[in-house]
Amino acid sequence: MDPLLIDLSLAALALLVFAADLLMPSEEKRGLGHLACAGLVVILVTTFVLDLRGDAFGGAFVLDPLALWFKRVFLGAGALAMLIALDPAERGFARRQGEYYLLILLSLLGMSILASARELLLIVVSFELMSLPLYVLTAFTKSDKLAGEGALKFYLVGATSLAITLYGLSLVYGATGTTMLPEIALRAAGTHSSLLVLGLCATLAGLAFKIGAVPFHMWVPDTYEGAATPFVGFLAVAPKAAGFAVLVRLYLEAFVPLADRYQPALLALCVLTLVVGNVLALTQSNIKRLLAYSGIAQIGYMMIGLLAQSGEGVGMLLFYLAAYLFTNVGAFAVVAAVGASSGSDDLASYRGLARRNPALGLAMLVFLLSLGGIPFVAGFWAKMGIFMAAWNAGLYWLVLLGAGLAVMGVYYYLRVARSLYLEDAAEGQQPVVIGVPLRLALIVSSAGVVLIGIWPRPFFDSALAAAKSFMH
Amino acid sequence: MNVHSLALAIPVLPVAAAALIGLVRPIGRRGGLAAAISIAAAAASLCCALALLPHTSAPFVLKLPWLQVGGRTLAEVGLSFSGISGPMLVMVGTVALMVQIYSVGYLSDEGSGQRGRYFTWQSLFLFSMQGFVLSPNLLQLFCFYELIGLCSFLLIGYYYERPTAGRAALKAFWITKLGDVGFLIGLLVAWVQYQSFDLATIARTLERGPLESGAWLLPALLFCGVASKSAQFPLHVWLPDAMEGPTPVSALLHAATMVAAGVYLLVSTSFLFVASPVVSSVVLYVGAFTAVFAAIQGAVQHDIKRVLAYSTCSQLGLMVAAIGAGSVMAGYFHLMTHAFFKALLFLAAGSAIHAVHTNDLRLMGGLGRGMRWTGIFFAVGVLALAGIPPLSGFFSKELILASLEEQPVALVLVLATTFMTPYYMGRAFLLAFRGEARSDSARHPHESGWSMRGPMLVLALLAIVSGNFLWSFGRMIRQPAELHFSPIAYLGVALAIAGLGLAWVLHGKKQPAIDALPPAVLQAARSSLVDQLYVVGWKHVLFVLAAIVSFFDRYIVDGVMNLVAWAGERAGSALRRTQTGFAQDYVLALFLGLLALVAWGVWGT
Amino acid sequence: MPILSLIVFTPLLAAIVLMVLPERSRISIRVTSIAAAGLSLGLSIVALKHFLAGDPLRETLTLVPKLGISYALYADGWSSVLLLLTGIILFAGCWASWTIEKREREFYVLLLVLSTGVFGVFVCLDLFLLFLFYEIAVLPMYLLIGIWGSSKRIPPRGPLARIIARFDVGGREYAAMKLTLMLLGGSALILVGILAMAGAGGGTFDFNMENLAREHFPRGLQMWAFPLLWIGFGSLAGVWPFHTWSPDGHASAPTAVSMLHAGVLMKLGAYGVIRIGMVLLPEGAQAWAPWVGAIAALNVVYGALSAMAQTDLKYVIAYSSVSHMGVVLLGAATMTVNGWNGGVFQMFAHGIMTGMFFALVGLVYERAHTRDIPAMGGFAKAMPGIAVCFTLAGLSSLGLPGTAGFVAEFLVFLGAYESNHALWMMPAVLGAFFTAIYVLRAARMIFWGPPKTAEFPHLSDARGPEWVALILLGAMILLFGIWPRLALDAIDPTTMTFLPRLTGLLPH
Repeated sequence: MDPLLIDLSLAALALLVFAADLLMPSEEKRGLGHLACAGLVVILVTTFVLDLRGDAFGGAFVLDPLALWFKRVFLGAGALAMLIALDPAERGFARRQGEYYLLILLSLLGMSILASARELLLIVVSFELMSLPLYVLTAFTKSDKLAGEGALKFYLVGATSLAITLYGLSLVYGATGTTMLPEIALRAAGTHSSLLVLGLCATLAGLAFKIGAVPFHMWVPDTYEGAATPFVGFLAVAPKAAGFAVLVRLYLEAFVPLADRYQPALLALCVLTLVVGNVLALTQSNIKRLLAYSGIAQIGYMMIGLLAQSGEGVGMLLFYLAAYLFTNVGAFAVVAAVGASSGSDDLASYRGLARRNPALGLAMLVFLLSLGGIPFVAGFWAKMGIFMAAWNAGLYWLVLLGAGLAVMGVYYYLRVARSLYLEDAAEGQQPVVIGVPLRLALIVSSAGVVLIGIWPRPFFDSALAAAKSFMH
Repeated sequence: MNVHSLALAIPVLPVAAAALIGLVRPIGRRGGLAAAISIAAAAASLCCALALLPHTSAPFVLKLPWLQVGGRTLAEVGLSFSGISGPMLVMVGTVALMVQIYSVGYLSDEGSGQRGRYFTWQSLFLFSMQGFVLSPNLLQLFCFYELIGLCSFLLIGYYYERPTAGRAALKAFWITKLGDVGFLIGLLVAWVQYQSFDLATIARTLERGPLESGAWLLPALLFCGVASKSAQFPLHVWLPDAMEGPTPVSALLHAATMVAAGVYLLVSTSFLFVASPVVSSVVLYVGAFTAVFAAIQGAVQHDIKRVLAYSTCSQLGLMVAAIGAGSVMAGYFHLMTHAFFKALLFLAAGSAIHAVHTNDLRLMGGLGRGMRWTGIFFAVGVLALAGIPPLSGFFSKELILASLEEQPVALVLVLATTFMTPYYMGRAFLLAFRGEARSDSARHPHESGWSMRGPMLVLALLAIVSGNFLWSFGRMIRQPAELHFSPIAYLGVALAIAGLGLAWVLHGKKQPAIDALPPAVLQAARSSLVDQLYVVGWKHVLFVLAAIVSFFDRYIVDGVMNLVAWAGERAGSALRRTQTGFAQDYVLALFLGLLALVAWGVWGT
Repeated sequence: MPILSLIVFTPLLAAIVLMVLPERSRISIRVTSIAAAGLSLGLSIVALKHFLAGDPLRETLTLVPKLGISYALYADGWSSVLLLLTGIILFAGCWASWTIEKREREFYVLLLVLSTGVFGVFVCLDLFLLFLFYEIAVLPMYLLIGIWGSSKRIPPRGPLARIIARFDVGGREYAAMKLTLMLLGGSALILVGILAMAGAGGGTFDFNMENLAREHFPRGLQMWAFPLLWIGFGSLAGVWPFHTWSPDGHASAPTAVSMLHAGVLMKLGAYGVIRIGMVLLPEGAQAWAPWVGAIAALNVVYGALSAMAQTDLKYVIAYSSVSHMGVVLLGAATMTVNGWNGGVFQMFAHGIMTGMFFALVGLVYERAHTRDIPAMGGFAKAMPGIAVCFTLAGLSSLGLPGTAGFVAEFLVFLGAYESNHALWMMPAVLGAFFTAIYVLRAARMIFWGPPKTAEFPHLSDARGPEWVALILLGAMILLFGIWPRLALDAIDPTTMTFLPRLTGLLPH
């Protein structure tokens, strides 16, 4: 089979939605959402059914298990995001919802190519294809001033970081004279040109922005707060995964010979991200900002997987991403539901949720526990795996730091759990009602979280296998 | 019935009775039934003891492993019957039985359920004491020693609604417990030094040759236990307060059980004391001093029970001193005779109190007319205690004096005691039973019923004749028992008579003086300095320390925890300020970060 | 029949059953939980019998071979005794929470889930699963205390009362959060320690305790891994200065939860320190023993003195737990047979005793609606049964012969005196004496003397279901005090299998 099939079908789906959007009368546009979502699910299924492995364009594009894993994460995030968005889109921007789905699909396409790119230019192009729709989507609810502001910041800083990335990559090209990653690895082996080092440091800064590592994280909370919640669920997972895809490809394949040069920088980033993310999350009173900072902290944990510099490390990173996908999208789904009913993302509006909508409360509790890394939900195994990998890589004190900060994390997650379960609802707060699609999304994500939590073995095995195929 | 089952029955019967009364509510609620069961058990157990007495020539030990550690037996539980334990069993059984019978009359006006409780504790007490006497090893001795302490705690606090009763009970428990801490450490020492708790084994090890070092440690620690239970200075302070319990309880405590346990421990471990002269002489002087000290205190009390309490204290001092001087015989035999007449004295006092409803000698007087029997019984007790021949007290006192011939200092102290004892006992008798009645209630006292008089009669007879058991007693414990009428013995008798005479002179009138001693002496004797010291240690040391510790815990240790949490929050809100919300700041941060990375990457490594 | 799995998972199954039971049928909820608890209790007796009969129970099944994780349960002497303890306390606890009204079903669900965790830790041979069970045991506490706990506390006194109030010290949510975070902090250290051992093979992991016991870890690793486990597990065992969750937590927890937490969960900590820390890291344990012992000795006296200064009854009991757990760890630190036997026996004895205490405190509180000791008085007339039980528990805690407490403490003292640090015996003995003071003093102030207020004489004694817990626990205190071999004969052989690993390294 053609390794390009997934990306092609994604493109096709996007075009289909685009065309349908033009033809369809504005009151039936909801159907587009269904179409896009169904399409994504179909593609996702095909990735499991067909064996598409192989490469194209002389190795510039490769579909190895690693890429496949990332693509699945993207597709899953996309599909769930669609589900969550259906109702709000209907309410918020019924007329323009076609464009909304289209943009998400395009961004997905960008990510999907990015995950397979083994060539600098392709990386850059697909990177842009991923990023630009995100800026637009952030500002999609035009009426909302916050959204506009968030989008602007996101765009300005994003553009700058892109410039930096490009500069860094050009330096890399200049130093090695090739754009194919395997080639770069070979050529870099000999040289110790500080030009190359400069280049990969700049690139690192750019990518660090994309994944929201400290100190390149500042756009994250504002953007999350501003953007429409259903979209934030997507924004918080897919692009970050994409960023990691690039990081893995560049730093664990192309730049491996220079590992000892960038490792300290990466380590510094990782520790900063862990500490600052957790500490800042302590005092947040707005659930979206809290999740934003906790997300930054989670990124820190994933970076430990990179630092391990081993197949195991990458495998655990992949596993972490899968767990994070279900957990985070699910959490934002709950936030979307509550926000829609109470009109506020303040922690106060979660008082006694467990009483007002037991199912929703329980789901939120599950997601919080998973984020906190508590046993029997996905998040525990994710952290556990990362720590084990780091341990085998000899990063003992990093494990200790991570474990300690994880406890701090439990504190702010429990703060939410407390208002869910221990506090009584303030009067005037109605029971939260949620539509079918959102309910479906919640069921899927919580099922995923619990499933991985209870029987992680298959996920571990395939993640490790995927990583092994990449790192030998 | 073979001897083993007899020995087993002695402690088992009472504990069975206790369980029956205590656990089966219907029985516990019926005071009469409870009393019947308890008394029957006590009587049966006494019979077993008597039946066992002829077999002292053939001592035996029954035991089975109680703690298995490291594959070998750490400690055993069992019964050891010997010439030492035989007479004690009989004495304890007799006194306990008499006290229980007496209690039926004494507590007749108590609530029925209350009496159920009373007899539960009584039976338990008898069990603990007999179990103690039959213990073959130090660990079991300790266990029952503690149980005895518990039972006296419960019985002293019998009137639990009186605040004073609660305090007295706890004081007794805590101070005896304090001594038992020494005993407990003694157990550890015994294990480390002799690898065994078994008395026989330890004795054998000692015979093979003394320890190269630290032989004094074990007896010294054991003596802490003895001193607390047997109310030796300075651990005697609980005894006078223990009067809060019902009078029969005091009789039991002071004659046969609580305080006797201490001396019996001394007797059964005497071989350890022999092995270290230093400790023996400490024992000797502590005993002698306590004897005089308590005698002085006894001479100035207004509460008849307190007079008796201090006399107990002082008599125990004599026993301890005798054993310290190396004559187990004298101390042990005095324990026996003392048990009978002291129990008698308490029961008689109790019957007087029962009639007058007060302990205060100042409100008594002339009771002898109304209660002839009680008066006679008390008088017998006084004479016996004074050591007037041919009553039992004379024999044991004579032995004690004889045992102290080589100890001039102690001898002087003891002789002083033998002079003062008759004085204060005579004083108590005269103030209570002779002269004019000094209160309305004392005007027309009515003699108590036979249920109370009977036991007193038995004890009175024993107080008179038990001295003649000396020789058979000596055979049982395998020690030479002969009275050599040395000058000191005559001196002792003379002093006793002198003491009685003094009492008659000072308090024999129709309107006797309550306190005849010079005021300075009264002042000195009544100012309970030792008590004050305990209070200081309690209020101003222990509880202050506790307050400091808990403050430290709440504000320093816990404070640090809270501080950490608080610091986390502060850090969060501090870092929050970096989140200005201005895009240009974000870009700036981005560039700074980039610079840092580059710097690190290029020049870092 | 997989008896051990049954013991462990019966409560969990019962919890699931409860979920589907209707909220309203309170009897069926109670009966289900009590039945489950009873079953676990009965089976744990069977497990103990099996061990004594010489064929200990064992169940194995590999889970994640890639990560060296397997499902391995094994009931040695210690485990089976502690299983028995857990069974007893859980059973008694279910009876003691008969009077819970608020969201009863959830309460029992959490309680049962928690006890599954406890059972699991005691029988689990696989460190990783053990860690999971440990977490299950610790986490439900947050909700159990947060929802059903009592904030009805004595207002903070003293010069810094305002600061106290600022932190809501003693409040149930404060207590719940503090407890959860401190224990999770501990388990973070435990996790690292476990990884250190399981990963020592290099590259691959092996979490099986028996395999690890065969390994000989490098001294360096042992030197830093042991303190991690000591502090990590110790924080649950109330090791100073990580004990401060205990007074607040136990004071604000509902009766059954305090019973389980002080009675059983604290033992998880001690068990972990000995069974994992000391047995798997002998050299580290040897090197750190002086510290463990010194801190434990401090615990004993410090806890006793703090208890003496408390006026809140529940705080008194909580601090006494801190003191008694010190005895356990002191026994462990002596590295002697007597010390270890005593330590494990003390886990059992203290569990029963403190469980009984908390049950009684609950009863008294329900009746008098106060925990302030000076405000009580003269209860003995109204509630003789409770008074007697309280005294019995008190006697066990002060180590009176004839109660389980004596055997435990005596063995520990003996071990301490035999050990290289004979003087450790002194603070331990002193602590026992202090216990005599504060326990009986509290008993006197509550039960003796004239009734403080007019309604006190009309309070009711324990009735019906409440008696079950009291009688069961009281009987155990006496039974194991009079015939300690019931437990000791199981504990001793296991001690003898573990201890040589350490004493082999003893200097003399």
